[in-house]
Amino acid sequence: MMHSSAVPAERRALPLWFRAGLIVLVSRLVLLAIYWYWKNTVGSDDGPFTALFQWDSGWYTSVAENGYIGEAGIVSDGQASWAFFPLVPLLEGFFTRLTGLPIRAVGVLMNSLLLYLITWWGARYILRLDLGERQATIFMLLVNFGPYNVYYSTLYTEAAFVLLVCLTLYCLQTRHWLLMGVFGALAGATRNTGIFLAFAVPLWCLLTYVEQPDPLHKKGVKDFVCWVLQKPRLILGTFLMPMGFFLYIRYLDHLLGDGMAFMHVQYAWEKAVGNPFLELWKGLLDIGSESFIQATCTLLCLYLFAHQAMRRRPEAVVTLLFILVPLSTTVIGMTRYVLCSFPILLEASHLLCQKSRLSRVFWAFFLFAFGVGTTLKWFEGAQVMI
Amino acid sequence: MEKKKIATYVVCYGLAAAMLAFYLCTLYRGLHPHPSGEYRSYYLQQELSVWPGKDGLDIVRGQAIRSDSETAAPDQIAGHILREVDNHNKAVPNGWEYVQDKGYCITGWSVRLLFEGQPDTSYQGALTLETPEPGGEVTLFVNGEQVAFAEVSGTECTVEFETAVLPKDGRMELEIVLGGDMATPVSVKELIFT
Repeated sequence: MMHSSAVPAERRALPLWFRAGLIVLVSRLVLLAIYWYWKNTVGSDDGPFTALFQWDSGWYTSVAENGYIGEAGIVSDGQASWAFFPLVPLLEGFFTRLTGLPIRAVGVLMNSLLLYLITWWGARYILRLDLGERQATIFMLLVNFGPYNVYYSTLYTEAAFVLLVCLTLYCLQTRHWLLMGVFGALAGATRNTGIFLAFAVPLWCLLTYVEQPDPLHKKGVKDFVCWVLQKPRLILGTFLMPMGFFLYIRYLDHLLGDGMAFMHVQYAWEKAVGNPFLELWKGLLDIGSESFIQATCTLLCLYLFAHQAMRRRPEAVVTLLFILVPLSTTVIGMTRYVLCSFPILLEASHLLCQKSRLSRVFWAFFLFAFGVGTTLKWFEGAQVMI
Repeated sequence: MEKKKIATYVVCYGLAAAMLAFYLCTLYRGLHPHPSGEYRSYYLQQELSVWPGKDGLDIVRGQAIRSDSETAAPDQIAGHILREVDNHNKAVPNGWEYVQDKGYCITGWSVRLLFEGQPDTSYQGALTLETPEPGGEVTLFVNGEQVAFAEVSGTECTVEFETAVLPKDGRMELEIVLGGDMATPVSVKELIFT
C-alpha cells in the first residue's frame, strides 16, 4: 500500500483540471460582479460583452469579419489592420460563423476557455518544472485575479499568447520537440514577439548540457554542438517555430508588396524603433504620469527577469525579449505586455510562494485590488488600458 | 532500427533545410519591398503626414485640387504634403498650417508637394494662391528644376508652369518657394494639371 506522502500532491487533492475549472468559474463570477458594480455606479446600458469590447477590439473584429484588406482598408490616419497578427481574430471569426453568436460574445467566451487552459496547464508546468504545489496555486490565482486579468476576457491576444508560450516552453523542457515547434509557430502567428520563443531553445540546450552528469566525457563546445545535432527532432522543432511569423510576412508581401508591413504600419501610431532603455528612462523621469506607472511596472518586471536569470531558468531569455522588444517603441502599454506574460507570471508566483504567510496575504489583497481597479478602468474605456 | 534512425535524421534535417530556405527567401523579399508609390512614400520613406489613399498621389488632368480639407481625398492637397522626415511629430506637415475656413495654408518660406504622374510625360499646371497682403514673389521648382517665377501684385495670383519629362518612377516633387517679404499665411486656392 502506498504511503500518503509518496502519493503525488496532485492526486491527494482534487484533480488539477477540476481545481483550475473552479478557479476560472469563480473569476468569471468576480468579473460579472465588477461589471454589475460598474454598471450600477455609472448607470450604463451596456451589456457585459459590450462593456468588455474596448479599444483594439474593433481592429480584431475587422480582421475576424473581413480579413485583411489591402491599401483600400487603410483609414485616413494611416492605421491599418495588419498591425494585428492573424491567429486570434481568425479563430474568433471562425467560431462566430460556426456558432452564429455575435463576435463580442464569441471573443469573451473563447478567451475564457483559453484562460481555463492557461490556468490548468500553467499549474501543470509549475508542478513538473518548478517549485510545486504552492507555487502552482499562486499562479492559478494570479492569472485569474491579478493585475490586468481582464485582458484574458476580451478579444485581445493575451490569453492565446500566454497559453501558447506556456505550451511551447513546457514541450521544450519535457522533450516533446515537434509539438514545441507547432505551438511556437502558432505563437508566432499570434504576436510578433512569438518568434523570440526560439531563443529559449539554445539556452535550454546549454543549461541541460552543462547540468547533465557525464564524467566520461570532457565538456566542450564541439561536444556540445554534437550533443545538439544528435537530436534531429529538436532541430526540426526549432526550425518550425518561426513558421507562423514568416507565413504572415509572406502573406503581407503578397497583399501589399511589403512583408514587413506589420512593422512599417507603426508609423501611423507614431511609433518608431529606438533604444528600450532610453524609453524606460524617459518614462521614469515623467513622475506621476501614465508613462511613469508603465515604466515602474516594467522596471519591476526587469527585476523579476534578473531573479529568473539567477535561478538559471531557460524562460529568462524569453522574459527579457518580451520586455525589451515592445519597450523599444514606447513605454506606453508596457504594463499589458509585461503583466500578461507567462514567464513573468511564473517568476512572480515563484517569488510570492517563498514569502511568509503574512506577506502573501498582503500581496494577495494588493494584487486583487490592482486587478479589480484595472478591470474597472477597462470598462470605463480609460486610455491607460490601451 | 539503424535504418529508422537514419530515416529520422534525413527527414528532420531535410525539412529543417527546406524551412530555412523558405525563411531566407521570405526575409529577402521582406527587406526588398515592392509596394505602390503611395505606400512607399507614406510608410517606408515616411515623407507624408497624411495617408493619401489608394492611387491618391496620381495626377488627374483637369481635376482641380483644393486645400479645404484636413483629410486626403482625390481633389484635396492634404495627402500630397511632404514633411521633414526627421521631425518625429508626424502630424505636423512642416511649413503648412490648417486654418479654419481657409484650409491648408503655407506658413513657411518653402514647402513641397508630391505627385505621381506618367513616366516620360510632361505636364502643364496652374497654381492659384491667396495672400493676406499684396506683394512678394513665388518661385516654383519641379524635381529641383525651376519652372516658374511670379511677382505677386495683388492678394491673389495664378502661376502657370510646365514640367520637364518625368522620370521612370513618375515622381513629381513640386516645391513652392515664397520670397520678397510675402505675407503669410498663404492659402492654396487651387492647383490644376492639364
